Amino acid sequence: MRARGALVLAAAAALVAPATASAHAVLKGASPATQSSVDAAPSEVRLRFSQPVVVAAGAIQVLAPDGSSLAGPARVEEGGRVVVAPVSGLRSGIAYTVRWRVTSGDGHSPSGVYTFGIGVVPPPPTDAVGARGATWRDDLARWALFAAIALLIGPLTLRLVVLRGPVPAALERRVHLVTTGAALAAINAGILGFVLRASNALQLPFGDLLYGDLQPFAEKTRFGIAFLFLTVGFGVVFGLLLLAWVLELDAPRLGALALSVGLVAGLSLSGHQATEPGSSWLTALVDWLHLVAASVWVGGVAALALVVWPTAPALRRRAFVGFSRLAVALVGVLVVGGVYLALERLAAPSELWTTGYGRVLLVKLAVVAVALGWGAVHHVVVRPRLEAGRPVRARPSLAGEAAVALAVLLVAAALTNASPPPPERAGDVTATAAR
Amino acid sequence: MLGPLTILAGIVWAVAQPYRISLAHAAERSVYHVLVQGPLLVIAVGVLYVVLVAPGLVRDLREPDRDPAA
Amino acid sequence: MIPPPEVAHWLAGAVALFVGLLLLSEVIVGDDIFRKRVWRASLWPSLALAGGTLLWVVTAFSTFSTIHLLAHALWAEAAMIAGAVQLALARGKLTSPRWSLVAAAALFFSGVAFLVHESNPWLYSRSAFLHHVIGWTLVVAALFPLGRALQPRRAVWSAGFALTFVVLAVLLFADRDVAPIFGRFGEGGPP
Repeated sequence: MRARGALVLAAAAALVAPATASAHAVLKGASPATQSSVDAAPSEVRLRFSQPVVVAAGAIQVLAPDGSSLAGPARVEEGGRVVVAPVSGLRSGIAYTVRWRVTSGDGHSPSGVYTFGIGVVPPPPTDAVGARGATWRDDLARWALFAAIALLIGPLTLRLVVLRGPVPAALERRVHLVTTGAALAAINAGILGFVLRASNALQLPFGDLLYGDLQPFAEKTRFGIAFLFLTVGFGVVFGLLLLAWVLELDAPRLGALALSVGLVAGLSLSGHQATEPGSSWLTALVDWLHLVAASVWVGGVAALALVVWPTAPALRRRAFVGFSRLAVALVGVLVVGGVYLALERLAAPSELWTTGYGRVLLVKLAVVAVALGWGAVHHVVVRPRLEAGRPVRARPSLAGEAAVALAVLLVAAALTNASPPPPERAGDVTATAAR
Repeated sequence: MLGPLTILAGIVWAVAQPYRISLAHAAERSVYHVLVQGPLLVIAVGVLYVVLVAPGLVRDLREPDRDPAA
Repeated sequence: MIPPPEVAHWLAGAVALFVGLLLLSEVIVGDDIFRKRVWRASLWPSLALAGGTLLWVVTAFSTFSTIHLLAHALWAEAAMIAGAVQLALARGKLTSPRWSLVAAAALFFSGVAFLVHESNPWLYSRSAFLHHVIGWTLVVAALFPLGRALQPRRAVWSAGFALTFVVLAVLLFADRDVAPIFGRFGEGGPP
């Protein structure tokens, strides 16, 4: 009884007493500031936190591009809210990386990384000293995002453009299921990709990564800013699709489709094409059209196999023929856009086999050729049979084309995470992470 | 009773902890702290309930056979 | 222009309080009267759906740590899915009481996210204590929609579900209350 009373008293004290540290410490400001360019070499690095922290001597590391650390032992000021480390030997014209790790009053150990330059623009935190470039995990996460967007845009286009008007309830249910699931998958794939990209730079074990500071990545990189827009945007798309399902209205779905098509621009602007020297509004526009066409094509073929064929036999012919007409235009945009972008990014045909980027592009071209060939067979063989009203077992073949098209997206994801060879170093075969 | 009770709870909270009402020293606070304050939010929720929900509920309780479209 | 965290928590508390009042009135007057008007029955599920959508904005700005980002994302998804299913039930699109299992799952996983979110023990700090209280409140409250799915006629499940939101509102108002880190009553606590 006494123990229970003590527990109640302790609980009441925890609730009533003005708290000290409540959540874990958050970096509120830094000097030199995150991603800033300063005129003169600083003599110290100061980090201000939201609450008092304790630190070890090596809490702040200031790293030169060669990896050497230029910071002295860290100390705390202002009751533990500010951590200061003296630095020496910094030179003008060089960018430096700051890595920090503190322990807050709640026992958690937040850590983070950012860069600053002296007389130069610093690289984004994804290119900080010690950061790793994109790996197969990043490619996989980006592929998941591409695939989810395709399964969102493709079936919506098929339903709202090709199969306008009333359709069987089973088909409608399947469209709702696939598209809302795809919207949810797009949000989560985006979050996964963002955290993976940040983890490449933070270089923390999983337990510490949970308390890693992602703000410099979210606010100071194209990838992070695109992530913010994509997360909120696909959240709204998810809401519109749920509303369309409940209210049985097409208007929210049209809104979801339009917004999703717009959000594809976020993929274009967060990949390598937006940061390469030759990029312009035209390359960004073409890349966006290229991705939208690919998404509608891949998702549309998948929707024929997954949605129309099993749920609405009576609509197979209308859906196939209608989508086939649309696919001709889509493939045109894909091919023209792809050729234009390849010409912009590669200085010479030899870069197709002498650079890492070129070799990935070659693989993509090969898989695209298979997918287009498969589509051509459907267009030339299956479509006339369907139009003639003859029975066709097209579902396995459609599923096959969709699988190959999804493989195209996988190679496209690897290509988006890679950088084209810079003009002055056309022979470099290293593909680095997109900024 | 739910609405008035909620409003009362907000008033009691505001009286018990007057320092939460930052309208009096608005210059010291951000715009969010002026607009969003715990006790005032509770009162606002109570008022919203009284205005938006309660009258219709009472009417439907008194006239259970009334057509919702009417 | 990003609102301070305690402001976001208080707004969430206000929404939870309004939802709690709506659910309590449904328990008091009965399902038949309350659902007589579709807009009234649709109100709290719509709030959950809209609130979940707004939570994505909060999620996008919760990048000060990975765990905050993931927890807010989970809460947003849970609120949207549960809200949409309840809206479909209110409008008669779905009819089976078994759909209450979705609300049960949403409460359960939201509670687990609160508990995982706070790795410190109960009495480590006020915030740790409140995180545990909210987490366990939601986990235990998952029993109410679970019970309603199995015994839709028993009022105790609906009453428990309604009171959960009132309790949640109180806890959310208290959650970021006197935490100095958010500056509301910072540097020395309340006067």
